[in-house]
Amino acid sequence: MSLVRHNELVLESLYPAFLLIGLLILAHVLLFWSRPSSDQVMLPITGMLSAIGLTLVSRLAPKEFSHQIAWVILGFFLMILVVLLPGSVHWLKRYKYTWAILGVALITTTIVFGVDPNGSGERLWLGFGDILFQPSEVLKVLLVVFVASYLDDKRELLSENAFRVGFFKMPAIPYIVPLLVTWSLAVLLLIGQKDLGPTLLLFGVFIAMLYAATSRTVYIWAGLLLFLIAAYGAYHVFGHVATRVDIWIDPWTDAQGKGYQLVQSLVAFASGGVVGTGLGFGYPLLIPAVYTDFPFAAIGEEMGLLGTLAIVLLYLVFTYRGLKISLEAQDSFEQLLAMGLTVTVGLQAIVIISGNLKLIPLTGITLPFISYGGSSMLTNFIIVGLLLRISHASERSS
Amino acid sequence: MSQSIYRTGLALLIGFVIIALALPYWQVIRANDLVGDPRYNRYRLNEIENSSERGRILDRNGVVLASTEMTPNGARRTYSMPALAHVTGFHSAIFGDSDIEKAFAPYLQGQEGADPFKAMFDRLLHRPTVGSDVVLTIDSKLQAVAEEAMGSSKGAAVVIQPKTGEILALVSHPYFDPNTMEKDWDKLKNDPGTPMVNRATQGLYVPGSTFKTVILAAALDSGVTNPDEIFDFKMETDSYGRAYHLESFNGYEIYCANHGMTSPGRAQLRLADVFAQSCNIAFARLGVRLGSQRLIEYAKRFGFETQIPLEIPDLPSQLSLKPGFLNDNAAVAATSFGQGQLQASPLQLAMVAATIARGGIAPQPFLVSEIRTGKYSTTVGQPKQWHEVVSPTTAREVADMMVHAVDTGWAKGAQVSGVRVAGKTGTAEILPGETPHGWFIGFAPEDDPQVAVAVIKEYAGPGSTEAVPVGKAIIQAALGK
Repeated sequence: MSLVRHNELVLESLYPAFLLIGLLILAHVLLFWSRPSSDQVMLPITGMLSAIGLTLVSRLAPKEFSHQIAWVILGFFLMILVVLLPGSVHWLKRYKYTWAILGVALITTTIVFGVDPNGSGERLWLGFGDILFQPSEVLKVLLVVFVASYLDDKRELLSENAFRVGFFKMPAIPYIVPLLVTWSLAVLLLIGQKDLGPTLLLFGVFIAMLYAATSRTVYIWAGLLLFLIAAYGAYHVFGHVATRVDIWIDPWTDAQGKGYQLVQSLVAFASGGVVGTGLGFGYPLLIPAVYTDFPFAAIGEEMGLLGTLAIVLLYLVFTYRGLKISLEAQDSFEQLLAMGLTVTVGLQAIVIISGNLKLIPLTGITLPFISYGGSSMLTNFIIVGLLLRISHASERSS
Repeated sequence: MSQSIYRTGLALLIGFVIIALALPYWQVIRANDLVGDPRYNRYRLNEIENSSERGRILDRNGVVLASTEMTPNGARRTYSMPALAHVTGFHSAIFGDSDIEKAFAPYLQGQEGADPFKAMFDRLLHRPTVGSDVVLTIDSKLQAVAEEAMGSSKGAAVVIQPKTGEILALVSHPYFDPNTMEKDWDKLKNDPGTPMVNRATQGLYVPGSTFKTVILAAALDSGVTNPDEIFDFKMETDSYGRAYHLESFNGYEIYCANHGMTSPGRAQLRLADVFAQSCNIAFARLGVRLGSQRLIEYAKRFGFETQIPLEIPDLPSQLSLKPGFLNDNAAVAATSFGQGQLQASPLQLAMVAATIARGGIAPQPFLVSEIRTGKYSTTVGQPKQWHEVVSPTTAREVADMMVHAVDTGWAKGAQVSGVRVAGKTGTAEILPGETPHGWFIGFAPEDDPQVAVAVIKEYAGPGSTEAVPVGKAIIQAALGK
């Protein structure tokens, strides 16, 4: 970036790159030393994605670069910490209700004290002085841990059909209850934040885990139906959600007004073409909130189709490795946990990228490892740490 | 559980695949129309505009027709000859580009140039691009003459060098001023005189008797007549003592008055004379002899019903509005003297004259000859045959009869001393009571053609008095007489 800005290469401008390379080497050495049989692909992908993210933040919001790199460094250390902690991940299961209560508490505080720092209409943040904190990011890990623990406990009831209602085999009450509880939580979140994105993400992850634990498709349909009910309600209750859906259906007629952000995103993709304009040579800053909501469009403009496809491939490989870890995990709790965590990252990437590409209405969630934002960065690094740990345990046992 | 994890993975894979398909849709398939649309991309277009100097548009002698000045308020495009608005088109940040400005935008903007390696390196190294100049075949002096000869009439004139296909002048009246079109846009769009429409290439008019040139060439070429044929007419006199002849074609009666006769009796005219006198009955007979099949085939060879290849938008001329119209002999008869449902553009009729001038082979018309980037230049348009229409013998016979029409017939007004001018007039009837369109097509000199023209004045009156003087002025100017 400095090469583009000053037309010369300054040594200082390479320091962040050296720092990141150093961190990666450190993480790799520690991982190799402490957990030699853990997954070897996860860390390089995480490094690659966060390096792209840093480059993009220095391109799009140079003022935020120092914050972002601080988050990445902190993330790396958190990840290493999670990997190095002694014992197994099973201790998480022991405190499952603590996580659930923490989650509910987070949602309620957001609803009550939530702030909307950029005036977008979504109250996604909790403020502590100058530090803004996005609870839905932490919530997703808490939810995955809780659901994995809960489902694992009730595994024995798995394929039992308690009763039938007409044509449908109804699942046992122990499954209906958490389904409804999580749905209510998600709806609560929706009401609190007025944004469909985190709701879709949380609920999607939950349904996937429920399906994985029970192998019963009825949950998918039931979940889909419940989500549609919530979405329909949100569309009619919150003007903000309705606007987003209307923009999604037709951004072109009001291209200078409401549809501006999405149209500019699509034009940015189009401007990039196959090879892109080159970093620093496009105009991605024309998109409002590009570095939080539309980093993928900026990549599309400056790195072209080759860049966007490469990043999609990175997320795909991430998802593949994550699910592989899940399949090879030692027991059903680790399996569910790994699966839930992986789906969280994969689904989040799909939802935000699809929003940028006008495949679904835009939502205010981040592009994992790339978007600017501390809460999301730290959470994602913790997810990688947990996955690495599970992978090590399973390798060793086999 | 493994199976349901596999399936979850499959669902996510489908999501990624959909994204991987949506990406090329926006980044490649829809790229050009989104990037080029000023409604969505005004800022980027302006930035590109201001970061590079757009190339100029020059006439064949290097006269600057369009150029860009860099002002403190950004780039400003100026046009030295607004009368050429329908050739150069306009370049606007609000309304986009049109005509040559649009068709050659990649060259004018500098993405593509005469030196492809330089253009590629400039892009790769992010150097500011310098647009290439586009050199037209238009002769701005001849254009000015044609312009003046048209006066304030609505209509069009197309001037082609028949040997090469170069378009030397293209008049469309009224026109708009591309220097002020942004400001005048609403007024221009709502103007009943339609100044934004290029009449020369997109105006479709009833061709009237000029179409007899097509029928004459078709009839000679297919052998249904020959230059020695004598046409017989039984003349009668009306109550005022004027001689006339009436003939019915499948119930459709055609009336002809002018055969140099004042009393009843038998009139005999040579083929060259029926052409010079523009006798409708004779051409109706020729058309019926040809039959609809051959009539359509020859007209298509002249370019009817096809889009004539050109750098700016043009509309195909039409033989009929309804399919199957020409299955009836009455329709064939009416079409053969240039009425029926015929719709022809001035460009199409100039092509008819140019084809006869070129010995039966239609030249491919073009407006841009070369692209210049600094000292490099690339030829873009060069003389090419479009396709063969009639034999050289037929073309020579038709040319002789067109000269006869200028020497003795309705096109007399086009005579230029010392030059063999070939021509044909047309007076196209629109609706009863409306003043007809006046047409002239022609070329000169007959023995070594340098210029072919088509002129139309809308609702102006007979071709012989309205369009012929314009054609003559153009021919004189083109030949330096």
